[in-house]
Amino acid sequence: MPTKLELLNITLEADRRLTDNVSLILHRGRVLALVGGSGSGKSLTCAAALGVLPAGVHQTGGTLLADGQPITPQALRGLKVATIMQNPRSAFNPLRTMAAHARETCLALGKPADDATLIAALQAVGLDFPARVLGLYPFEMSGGMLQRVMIALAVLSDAAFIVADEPTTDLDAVAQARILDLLESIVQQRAPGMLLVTHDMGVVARLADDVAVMDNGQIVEQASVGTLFAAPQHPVTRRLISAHLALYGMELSQ
Amino acid sequence: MNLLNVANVSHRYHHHSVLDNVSLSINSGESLALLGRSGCGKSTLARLLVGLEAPVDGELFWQGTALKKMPTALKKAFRRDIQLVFQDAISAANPRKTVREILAEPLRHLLNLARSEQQERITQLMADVELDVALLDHRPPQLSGGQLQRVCLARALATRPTLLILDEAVSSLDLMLQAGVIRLLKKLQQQSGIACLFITHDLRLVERFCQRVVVMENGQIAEDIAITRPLRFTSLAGQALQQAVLPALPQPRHERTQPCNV
Repeated sequence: MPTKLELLNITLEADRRLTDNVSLILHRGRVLALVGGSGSGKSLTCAAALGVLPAGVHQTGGTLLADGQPITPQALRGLKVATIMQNPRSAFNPLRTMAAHARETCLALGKPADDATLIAALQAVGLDFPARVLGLYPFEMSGGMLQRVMIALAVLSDAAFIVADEPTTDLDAVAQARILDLLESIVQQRAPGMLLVTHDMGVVARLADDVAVMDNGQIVEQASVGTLFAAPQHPVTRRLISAHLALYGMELSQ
Repeated sequence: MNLLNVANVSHRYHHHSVLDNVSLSINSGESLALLGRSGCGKSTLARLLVGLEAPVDGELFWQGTALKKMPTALKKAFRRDIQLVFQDAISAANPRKTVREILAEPLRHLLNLARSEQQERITQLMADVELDVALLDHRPPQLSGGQLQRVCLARALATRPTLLILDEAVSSLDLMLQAGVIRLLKKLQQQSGIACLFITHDLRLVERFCQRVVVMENGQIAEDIAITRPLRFTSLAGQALQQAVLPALPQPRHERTQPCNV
């Protein structure tokens, strides 16, 4: 399994340029947050890394490197990179049980799909009564439970990297805090490299080690989380941090 | 002055109790937060407050008049007076209509304005929510989520309501847009004394914007307190939401490994 995953100069275009020479480096055991306003190109950058760009968007430049060696998104997706999506309710097939989803993941990866493995995976993400959860359909579960199962599937795949695109945005504050605790314990115990896409700087403060700020398709600033919060340089970052601090009645110094 | 009064209201869907003996009053000009986890009954209460549904038990009063017995003429004034912005902007706006048509709808149905006055009002509303008038001829699918939510806010403000109910209406916006909407609401409160009911699970917005907070849990009101700094909740539901507030600043890893909540 690779220990370093690089997105190098990713350029995406549709009728106009959507991202411009975006470069990011993921290290195992570290969480890189990708932040920026709506429409800044965060999710498209993830989609390019996974080879799942929407119709009409073309990659006109850039490569992916695993430990310095070029690799295709198809070879990464599901095998070396697992994905946790924003809206668990639309990410699951409403006609299939949790067990069917988990078995599909295991079969696709050639891993054992016996009940004991699945139950252990659900237990690992803190789901109570895992044997019962395996028999449930998505509509029988809360958003927080579904998000835990999605994380369990990512853990089952044993991927070296995880892309988490707004993993807690649709959850209430208590469910959000618990999912962030879970993601942190997974990073500590299994040390995947994580790309965390979010618009909430509170999530960044809670979980990230490094931060990349995106605006209008470009990375405008990249720093460790401490540096970025203490001394943001780019005007876009400064606006973002001040708006975030204002939520807490705090101000950006300088 | 008392604007809206909820007296011992209970509501059920298919024998499943959603609201259990809820009483609440909303005064004119105040900013009130209704705080609670998913599924606690917040949105159902909002639907009852605007008269979209009638409660199974109990009564609602608008300026002293029971909603149940309200004469038709008064109903129009009630609908003008209380407006709701829904959580999901995409399903709250007709995709086949232009933004201009969407904003004209409440003006046509609830106010008696000449055509030119309507257009003036529409232009003003777009300015209020900081949207470009060029968007007036666009349709919802052509707008971003943040733009569409501001269209929904403008539509709710169109009739100059005395109470605006925002059902998680800003939590899906990005941080800069959230700040913009809060600024706008504060400005409107100063100008027109509009009352706001802020339905949310995010305590950060509540502390910035509201004077009073009502915590709900399992269809009941767990507590109803004035906002103080720092906030002191006595209910477990309130404390759980308070503990779940995300940190303002990054903490070193070794501190972050401590279990930080229940």
